[in-house]
Amino acid sequence: MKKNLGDKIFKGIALFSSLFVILLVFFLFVELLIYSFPSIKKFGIYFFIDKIWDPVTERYGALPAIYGTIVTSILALLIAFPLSIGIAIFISELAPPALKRPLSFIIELLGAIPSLIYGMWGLFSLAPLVQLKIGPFLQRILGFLPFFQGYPLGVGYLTAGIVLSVMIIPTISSLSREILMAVPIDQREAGYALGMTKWEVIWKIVLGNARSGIFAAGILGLGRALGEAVAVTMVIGNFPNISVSLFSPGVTITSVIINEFAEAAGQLKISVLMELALVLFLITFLIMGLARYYILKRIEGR
Amino acid sequence: MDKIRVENLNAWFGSMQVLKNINVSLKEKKISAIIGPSGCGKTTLLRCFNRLHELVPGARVEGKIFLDNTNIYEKEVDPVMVRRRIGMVFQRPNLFNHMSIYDNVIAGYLLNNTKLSKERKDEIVERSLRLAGIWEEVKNRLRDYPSALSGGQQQRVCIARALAVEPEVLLMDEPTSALDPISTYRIEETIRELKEEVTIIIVTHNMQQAARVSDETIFMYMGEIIEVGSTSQIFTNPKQKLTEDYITGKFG
Ligand SMILES: Nc1ncnc2c1ncn2[C@@H]1O[C@H](COP(=O)(O)OP(=O)(O)O)[C@@H](O)[C@H]1O
Ligand SMILES: [Mg+2]
Repeated sequence: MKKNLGDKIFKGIALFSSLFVILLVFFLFVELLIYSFPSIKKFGIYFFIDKIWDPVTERYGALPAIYGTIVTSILALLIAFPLSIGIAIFISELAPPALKRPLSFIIELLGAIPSLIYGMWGLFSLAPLVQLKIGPFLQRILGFLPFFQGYPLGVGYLTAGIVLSVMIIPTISSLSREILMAVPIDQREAGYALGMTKWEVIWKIVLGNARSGIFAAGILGLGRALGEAVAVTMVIGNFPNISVSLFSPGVTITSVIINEFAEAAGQLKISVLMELALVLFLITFLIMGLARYYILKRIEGR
Repeated sequence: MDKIRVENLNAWFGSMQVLKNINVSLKEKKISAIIGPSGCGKTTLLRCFNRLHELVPGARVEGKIFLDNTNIYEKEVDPVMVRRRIGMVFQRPNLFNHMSIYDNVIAGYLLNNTKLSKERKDEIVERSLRLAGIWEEVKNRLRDYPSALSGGQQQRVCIARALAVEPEVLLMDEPTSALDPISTYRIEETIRELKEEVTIIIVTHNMQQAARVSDETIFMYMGEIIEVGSTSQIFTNPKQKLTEDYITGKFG
């Protein structure tokens, strides 16, 4: 009898907690939607295609922010993904056993550093470096590409992308490392027994086995980059602008919200920022959903 | 003709010695069975033949194994080259999860960017699957993933994969221990037919199986070889007391 009651209570708590989380997400969404309503009504689809952001005439276009968010996040992923895979391969396949734990620990530590600190590093160390060294160097070797036109200011898409990449490397690499280490020994031995070299086993067997999991790890990293606020705001330049050149300053959804919320006066302005938040919510939700789908498929598919 | 000759072989896991002074010869195009109680070192000995043992962290091998007339433990011998001449089928089917049945069978040719025409690949895949006695069952589902096959079918595709690269020697580590009687019967049939093609070394702790399929039998006990002889002699007229006790089921 007593045990039964305990079971029931426990079950109740568990059920309540999970429902609570789901409800929380749901209400958050509804709340954002309600607050966004004046903005949605006033701008409609123009919110997404207008480039002008002018508080004086109350004309608010979100395109630069959406563009900046996507460009910086994809740039971050392009930089972080290969590096993270390299790190994961090194730790799981190549590093001597005595090095594996300390290395994993250091990488995880990197993930625990507050984003403000990354932002400061980006602003005070990286931005000058981009302006004086990295920018001119890229211009010299890749200057014919539209991405590297104009004069590097230091702050802008490129710097933000690099800072974000450093911030998502811990996420992607530690997840990938776990996925690689979970590839069964018998898969590797099957490769060796067929006469594969160590590299062939790593590339064709281990990475092949882990590919959907690693893909999901990349998506999770991307999700993190999309939502990062503080560090990006410090290095993006905060200039509402759409430019193909990665040297240009820009804005992101998060940087606009951070910069404008404090002085947001008036219903419409608040509503506009709420709609921006809603857009970020939806983009992130979509991407996370994709990642989950792939992870689930991997776990259940085999 | 001896295909393989083992001289003073010793093997360790860390500080634990699991093979002690092994000396034995294996005849070409014959089936040799290695029998003995669980933990006596059968798998380890098998994994010394294709230099897989040394891949386990902390594991170590000393001694010589001659394949034809080359010592595969000579410094300048590349283990990768040894493994291309000596194929292996493991105790549990271990097809590559992420590759189709077709790609699994051809996997040994994906190495070093070997280029093969589509026709040549089809030919190899069909020939190997036929040799392993599984062609009819999988010919219409070559693009399926291994998880769609039963354990016995997977194990026979593993045999096909090992045979595809035309090894000179095939190592089999209790290939039927995880399978049902019908799959076991099929694989034993396959093994007998393969004798024409390759030298086979099969580990089994099923003595009936050793008696059914092998020409020669090696009896191991606690890391040592106790007796080697023709299978009929070992099973009808063992010379060692220990061998007799084992095959009559007094222990094991
Ligand atoms: N990976 C390993 N690490 C440490 N010891 C092992 C390992 N694999 C096997 N052993 C030990 O080595 C001995 C021989 O094992 P094995 O060759 O697998 O025996 P068998 O195949 O005859 O059952 C056993 O005592 C076993 O416990
Ligand atoms: Mg064994």
